[in-house]
Parts: sequence; structure tokens; C-alpha cells
Amino acid sequence: MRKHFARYTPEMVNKITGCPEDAFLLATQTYAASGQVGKAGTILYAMGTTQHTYGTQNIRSYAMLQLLLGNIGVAGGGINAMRGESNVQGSTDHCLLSHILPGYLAVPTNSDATLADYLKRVTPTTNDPNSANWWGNYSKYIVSLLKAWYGNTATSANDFGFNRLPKVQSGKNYTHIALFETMAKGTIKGLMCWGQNPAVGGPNANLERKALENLDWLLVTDIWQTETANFWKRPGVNPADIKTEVFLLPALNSFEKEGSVTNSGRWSQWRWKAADGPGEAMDDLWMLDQIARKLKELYSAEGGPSAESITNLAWDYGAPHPDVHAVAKEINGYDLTTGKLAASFGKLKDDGTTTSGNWLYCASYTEDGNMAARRDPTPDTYNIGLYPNWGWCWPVNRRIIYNRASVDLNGEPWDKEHPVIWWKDGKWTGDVPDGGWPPIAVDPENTKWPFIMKPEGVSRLFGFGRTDGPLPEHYEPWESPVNNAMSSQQINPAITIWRPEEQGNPDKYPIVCSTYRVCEHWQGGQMTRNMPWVIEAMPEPFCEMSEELAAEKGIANGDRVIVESKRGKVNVVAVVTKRFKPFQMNGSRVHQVGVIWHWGYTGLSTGDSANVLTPHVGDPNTTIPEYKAFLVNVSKA
Amino acid sequence: MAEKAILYDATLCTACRGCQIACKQWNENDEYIPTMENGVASNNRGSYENPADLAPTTWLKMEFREVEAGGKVRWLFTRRSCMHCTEAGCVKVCPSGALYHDAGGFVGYNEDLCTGCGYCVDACPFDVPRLEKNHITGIGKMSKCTFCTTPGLNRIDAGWEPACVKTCPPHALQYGDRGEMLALARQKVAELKAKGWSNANLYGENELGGLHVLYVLDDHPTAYGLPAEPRISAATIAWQDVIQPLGWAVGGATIVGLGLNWLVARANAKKEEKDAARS
Amino acid sequence: MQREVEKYRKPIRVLHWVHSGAFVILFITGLFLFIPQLGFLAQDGWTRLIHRVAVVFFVLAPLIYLALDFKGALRGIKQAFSWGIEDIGWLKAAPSYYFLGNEKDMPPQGSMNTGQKLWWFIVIAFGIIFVITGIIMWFFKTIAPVALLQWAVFVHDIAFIVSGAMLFVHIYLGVFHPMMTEAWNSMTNGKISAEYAQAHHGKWYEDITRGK
Repeated sequence: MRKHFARYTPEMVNKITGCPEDAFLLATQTYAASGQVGKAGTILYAMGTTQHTYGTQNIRSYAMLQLLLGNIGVAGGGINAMRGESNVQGSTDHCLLSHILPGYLAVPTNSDATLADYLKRVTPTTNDPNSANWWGNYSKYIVSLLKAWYGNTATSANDFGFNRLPKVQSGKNYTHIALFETMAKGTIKGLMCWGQNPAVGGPNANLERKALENLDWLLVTDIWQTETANFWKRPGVNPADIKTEVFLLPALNSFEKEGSVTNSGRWSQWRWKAADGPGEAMDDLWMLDQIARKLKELYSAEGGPSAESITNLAWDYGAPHPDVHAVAKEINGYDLTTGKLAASFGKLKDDGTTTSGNWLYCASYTEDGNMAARRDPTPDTYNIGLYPNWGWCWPVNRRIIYNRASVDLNGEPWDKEHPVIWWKDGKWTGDVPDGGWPPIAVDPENTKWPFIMKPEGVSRLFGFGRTDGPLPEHYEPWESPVNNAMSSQQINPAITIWRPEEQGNPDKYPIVCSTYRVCEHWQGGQMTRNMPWVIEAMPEPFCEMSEELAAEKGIANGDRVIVESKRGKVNVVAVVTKRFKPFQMNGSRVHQVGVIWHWGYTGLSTGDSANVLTPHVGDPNTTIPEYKAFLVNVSKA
Repeated sequence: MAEKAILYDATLCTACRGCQIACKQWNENDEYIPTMENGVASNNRGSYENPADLAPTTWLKMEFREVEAGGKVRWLFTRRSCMHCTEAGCVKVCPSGALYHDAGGFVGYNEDLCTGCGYCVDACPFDVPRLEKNHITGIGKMSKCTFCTTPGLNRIDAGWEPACVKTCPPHALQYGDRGEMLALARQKVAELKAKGWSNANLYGENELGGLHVLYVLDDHPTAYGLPAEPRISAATIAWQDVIQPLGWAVGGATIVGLGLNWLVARANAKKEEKDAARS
Repeated sequence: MQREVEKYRKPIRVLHWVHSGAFVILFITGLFLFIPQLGFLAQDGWTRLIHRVAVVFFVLAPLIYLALDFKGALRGIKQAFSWGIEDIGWLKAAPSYYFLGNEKDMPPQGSMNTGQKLWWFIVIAFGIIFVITGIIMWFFKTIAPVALLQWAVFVHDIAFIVSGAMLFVHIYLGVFHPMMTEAWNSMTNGKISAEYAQAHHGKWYEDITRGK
């Protein structure tokens, strides 16, 4: 690792990024000081770090940095994602990603013929008696999940219904870009689009809008008419040419229904209905319940491929409107022998006697009530801002995970003024310890290493198991105006390139472009571009550029400009600013511009979508699109 | 009620414009640009700053300034709204008492009493009041921030902070007794100076007798677009301090004089008649 | 029967009533803006509208008269602006004349006595000042520099105070003063008695009777 990163000198940083060495050193020295005993530093990041063809490795480098500085598991430490939506954490917890089941269980693949095969593939093992290897409990969680979904029809005789779960093809990419590429080929017949607006938010917007035309049917549920719902009548197309049947279901927004939202700190906070929704709008739960019941009816009556996957669902959350509390309780899980709500995931079993819709959320809704609904502002024992009785945090209300890394071998906190946990009188005090085992020096035989979710029990500086890595390395984005100064490998070698012909050449597109947001608008703009006050504050999409670039191009502040990439072009307002300066990168003067991406062709305020410019490439692990760095050219309109 | 004030800390402000929009929402002010069928007729003029100016329905807005010095670029954000001056030019000049000082020290405003004369617009050293007026008939009303004391929408009487203060995410806006806000502001300025911001200052402590919107700035007020030494013009002072007394004096003296003349002249006329009758 | 002479012809009388009527309306509507306690009367905007409508009459009436009888108007203006020794005599005699009725020290006056000349002067001069400052305040609100707008208000107000005070005097003399018994008549049916003419405008009476 030392040898690998020895090449990353301040001079190299300056050469590649243009950041002055002294500024870079000031930043690193300031941050490195957080590694001292009694100090801590946290890294807050968002899409600027992840939306690259090497986004995962960027995050890996944060993890490594924080581990080296001792900033994991301590108060004021950690790597914390700033979410674009309030419930992103909740959505990934409950498996809104294509590679997981709820609770980050692996999605079964076509190579998992039986439950045993699956468990063999996914369950990590260890020979170290001091490694807790918590994922060794995998079987308990998947079986409890299957019991929750299939109820009495899930028995040990039929692998608890394991084969009813849809299985993905091993190695195939089901993420957003791959989905739309498949749609563009005509393979996908129908799409349900819940509160999402890919026509504005997806990369290579023109491609994705066109791909939607291949659908036989499209279901959009949203609180406004969106560009996605209106793709068939977007500017430049004739609706008569498009055969897709589009259903638009009016949805309630988060204040008009009851449920929970989970933040970056993993706090699940229950929310109550504050207002009635308009017209016939309904909540997503009701819609899903209707669809599931209808599917069960149809499959029972007519049969069909994998009918048992649907007909056997233990689906009963109440009628006429499903009870969100019933769902929350199912997610927590039950002890079937007593009929009571399960107390924690430590009690879940793989013999079919427990259920849990998401093992991570076990203990969120117990016989003592809805823990997520608690609003007790009493501070924690050591007053570091944990508020343990406010809402509920997974796992088991542990507010800082890996917190046994915040103490020394004797269980004494490194930072005695901000202790997270403290071993006193033979027990842990403070936060729920991340594993109640005694400190390493206190009881070497029975202790466990702190990083319990890793089979080794220790953290990984060497990051194997990802598509790229194991050590982060600098590559240029797929489209870059300069050569990679670090090595002869220009781009991340592990990425998939669906459309090599769509790569822009720096001769024609010499300017670096990044897409980002403004605080006045939100995501694809479905809500904010229908709010007159917000529109007044931020009326139009714009392209920010340096005074130097504007002078070169004869562009005055407020002029309309065309920003063009290999994929498409947009017409927006120029904001000429001192905040942008040309870069010196690897010997070349490089200009950067930024375009905000909230706009589309539907709503009270319309405008061009920045994602018309972005490429259909992404990180090799997640395929998160490279929205943050690509090439364009700019000219006065 | 003790005197109250809003404290704006420009160094904490992120110019999110939550305050700008919360003000509109609470006071039921429409977006100033009328909504059209296909969108709001509003445009970006090459800046994050919108709308371009205060207006009858824009009582609060944020201004953006980019300054570059010593190779560093700074983006300065200024809150622009009524300063609620103690020596308020608008109150001095308002002929109908529509503008007045209320218990908290703010410049309160009763729209019903406004005659639309627009004298306040000319009297304000900060160019805040905005008049919506028909140029032919002269019928109009002024509009400005009321410190959330608009009748029917009075947050202060309800014991709440103004809408802008409530919504501010980084707590750049705070509200409380003016004495407390001053103490807090001085502390913030001291902290800024300790960090090397040698030009840090508190704006509004004594200007115009003391403003009820205080500013913690890390640079000269003029860098933030604030007048360094705001003052009320002589013409503004003349209205209340010269013309009013003069008018009453002259008018009163005239009427009294004429009344006296009438009494005296009539007595004389009667006397003459008597004399003439007798002779 | 008393002989009567015509003091004011009809066109003049019409001009007087239209112009003074407009002025009274201007004065009263202006007063609402001047006295804060009366401000509530102006809140619905009608006051401003009436003020502006009255201005139209105030300005048009003399302009129309000028157009129709330029020579006559000029004569009157010349008279109003010719000051001489006799005016000093009037000034010296005025206090005891108007208070005590002492007529013998008052020199014979022309068609316009000194006081009336003074009033004409004020009406014309301040009328122009009113209109100019008023135009600035009405039409240039968004264009003129703030200082100009504020000083226009100040000057408009000074004019209001002075001409307002003089208006009280004029109305008092025309209606209430015990000695000015036929002044009202002179402006309603235009006629005064020969005796009154002799006593109050002796010089003028002499001129017109000599002509006969």
C-alpha cells in the first residue's frame, strides 16, 4: 500500500488536478491532525464522489483514510453520505437496488439451485475464534425473510420457498443504465416507475426517453405529471408514432401519509399524516397492495410462469386500506412459537420459527411499541448527541457502528471527553456496543474483534471483492481532455462501455462539464418546478463558466448559450462567474463548466435537461452514471 | 414587550433563499412575475440572484456579490429587506400614520391607512418600500417587510419568531431581545476577528439610532452593498420637524388673527352704526 | 335706487369660481395628507384621485381664459404686478382700516387694492409652483432622483401653508369682514353699488365714471 501510494505526491496532485501544492498540503495536514488522540474528523460526501466511473474506489479511499486516522467508530468520525432524498437509506435498507434483498442480503442468482447452494455462496466463513463474523448468521436472516413473505407455505421441506424468489443471471447488470440499454433493444415490455423521473434524472436523456418508446406499457406513479409520464408527447416526437400505453397514478406525498423515513445515520423516524392529499391521489402502499392482491387473484385463476411465487405470498396487511403498522411489524418480525414480535435479530432462527421482513430492522417494532415513533430528546449517557430514545436506529439502536474501535484494548475511550462506549465495572456503558463482548485486553479469549461484519473481524485496507481495486487508483473519466498522468491506463479498465461511438473527442469537445444541483430545486424538478415561489427564486437552467472562458467565446453574463456533447445539446443561460477558474492539468489549460440538471419539458417552469449531455457509462460496481465529468463544447446561442 | 431584533450572520448564510420564500408564503405574497400558462415568466439574468429587486410582493431577498482579492474569490450574501430603523425616515415622513413604530421597535405598517403618496419610498436610506400605484389616479399602496406583524398574520404577538428566522437552516438568522442579539453579535464579531477577519464588524448597532435588523459581517458594509453611513435626508426631517409645526403655526395664527379681526371689526362696525343712528 | 356698476364680468366670475372651487378641493384633499389624524380619510385612494382631477380644472381654467381673452388677462396680470407708492400707503393704513374701520387714512384704491394685488401674485406664483412640484411628484416618481422628489414635496408643502393661510384671509375678507359687505355680490352677480365702489375702489370708480 505504501509503495502504491508513494506515487501520489503533492507534485502529482498538482499535475493532475491543478490544485496548488501548498493548498493541498494545508488541507491534508489540517485533516490529518484529526488522527490525534482526542480529535476526530468526519467525511461528508455526496454525488461528487460517487458519480464517476471510479466512484466506488473514491469511497474506498475515504474508508482507508478514516481507518488510518482512527476516525471510524468514534464520535465525530465516520464516512457519512449526504442523501439527495430523505429516505435513500430506507430505500436501500429495504432493497430498492437490483443486487440485494431486504437487509442487504444477496439476491439469488441462477446458479443457486437450492437454499444450501445460496448459503454456501454468500455466507462468509472464518477460522478465527475471535472473529464474530456476523454474516455467519446469514441463514437465520434469509429464512426469517422467506417465512415473512411466504408464511405457512414456507417450510424446511421446500427450502422455505427459496426457489420462488426470482433469480438474476449471475454476472448480468440490472442497474439503471443496463436496464435502459435493454429497454432500448426492445427486450423489456413493461416498466413501473414509482416516484422517479428518468427522463430528466437518467444519463443520456435522449437515449433513455427514446428507449421508453419500446415499452408496451408504462406505469408512472407520481405527485405531478412528469417528463417520464409525458415522454410520448415530448418536444420533437409525434405521439401517433408511439405505441406505449401509459398509466399515470396520482400519488400522495410524504406528508399526506403515515410511515417511516430512515436518514444517513440509520435513524428510522416514524412520520404521521399531516394533511389530506388532493383529488384521488393514493399512497404507494395502497397501490402496491391493490396490485399484489390482483396479481394473486389472476395467478390463482389463470396460472402462469412461476405462479407459485405470487400465489403463495402471505399477503394480508388489512383492508380496505393496508395498515402500515402491520407492514412495519412484519419487517420487525415475529417469534412464531409465541406469536409475539421478535425482540432482536439475535433471536432470529433458521428453522422456520421466526419471521423478519428485514433483519436489520428487527427490534424496531417490539412488544414495547413502535420504536421509530419515539420522540424523547433525552441525551445519551455521555452527551455526544446520540439521543438514543429519539426514533430508532439499526442495528438494535446502535447509533455508531463499529464503536468498539473507539476504545483501546482495555475498553477505555481514546477520546475521554466524547466517549461513545466505556467499559466500566465489567460492562459497557454509553451507546449500544458493537458487540457486547469484553475488551480485547480484558478477556482475550472471549473477546471479538470490532469489525464484526467482516469475516476477518478487522477492517480492510486491502479492498478485495469489488470489481475494481483492491487499492484505489487514479484514472481519468471516460471522457477527458488530458492523458492520465498516473499511468498508461487512461480510464478505469473494469467499466462497461455500451456505446464506444458516443465517446466525445477532446478536439471537438475540449471543455470539461459537470452536472449538479441548486438548493432551490430538487432532483428532476417534479415538485419544485411547479412551485411559483421557488421558480421565481431560481427561474431557469444555466451553465456556469469562468470569466476567462466567457471572454474566449464572446459570451456575456446572461447570454443564452449552447452546451453540446457527443450525446446532445442544450440551450441555457450563461452565468459568468469568478468562482470558476481555468485549470492547469498535466500541462494543458483546461476549462470547466457546470450545468444544473433540474429541468425538463413538463411543469410550470420548463427548460432543457442537462442529462441530454451525460454519457451512458458508470462505475463498474454500481454503474452509477458518470454525471460529474464529461466533455462538451460551449458557444453563444 | 422589550425591544426585539433579528440578527443576520452573513458568515453563516448559505443563500438558500428559504427566508425569501418563507416570507412570501407566510405573508401570502405572490411571486412578482405573473404566472403564464406555460410557465412562470421569470428569467435568469446570469446570476443566482432572483428576483432582481424588492417589489410590492417581494419583501425580502438575498443579494449575491462575488469579490476577488489576493487570489481568493469570495461569494458574499446580503439580506435585503426593511432594516426597521429607530430613526426611520419612512415613519417620519408618513402623512397618515400608516407607518409607525410598534412596541418591539419595528417599523409597523397598517396598509389600510396608506394613502399611496410614496413619500416613504423617497425617505428610506435603504431604498426598501415599494409602491404599487396607478400613475393616472394616484391610487396605490406601499408594501414592505412588517417584521411579521402584519395584522391577521402577526407572528410576533403569537410569541413566534418571524417566518424568515424560523426557516433558516444554518441559523444565520436569529431573533430575540435586541440586547441579547447585540451581545451575541459582538461575540460573533470577536470570534471572527480572532480567526483573522480583521474587518469583521457589527452593522446596525447605532446606525439611524439603531437598526432592529443587525448584521454580523466579515468585511466592510460596503462590500456587502450596505451604505456605510446611512442617514435620513434633510428633506425627510423637514417634513415632520419643520413643515408640520410651521403649518400649524401659520394656519393657527391666521385663523386666530382673522377671528380677532372679526371681533374687533364687528365691534367697531356696531359702534359706528350706533353713532350713525344717534346722529 | 342705488346705482350699480359692474365690477366683474361673467367670464371672470366663471374663472374665479372654477379655479377657486378647484383650489378648495385641492386644499381639503391636501389637508388630509397633511394632518395625520385625518389620514384615514385618504386611505381608499379617492382623495388622491379627487386631488388629481381637481388639478386638471385648476390648470385648465386659467389656460382656457387666457386663450379666450388674452388681452383682458394680460391687463389684469399687469395690474397685479405694478407696484407703486400707493401700495405703501395701503400697507400703512391697512391695520387700522381693517381692524378699527378707519377709512380716512386709506388712500383711494384702483380696481385691485394692494391686498388684492398681493393675493393675485400669490395665486399666480404659487399656482405655478404647485403645478411644477405637483407634476414632479405625479409623473416623475420613478424617474427623478430621490432628493428632487423630496424637495418637491417640501416646496409643495410650503406653498400649501402660505397659500392656505392666504386663502383663509381671502375667504374671510370676501365673506365675513364687517366692512366688505358687497364683496360676495361682486363675484356672484358681478355688481357693486356706486357708493361701495367709491368707498373701496375710489380711483377705479373715478376712472370709469369719468369715461361716461
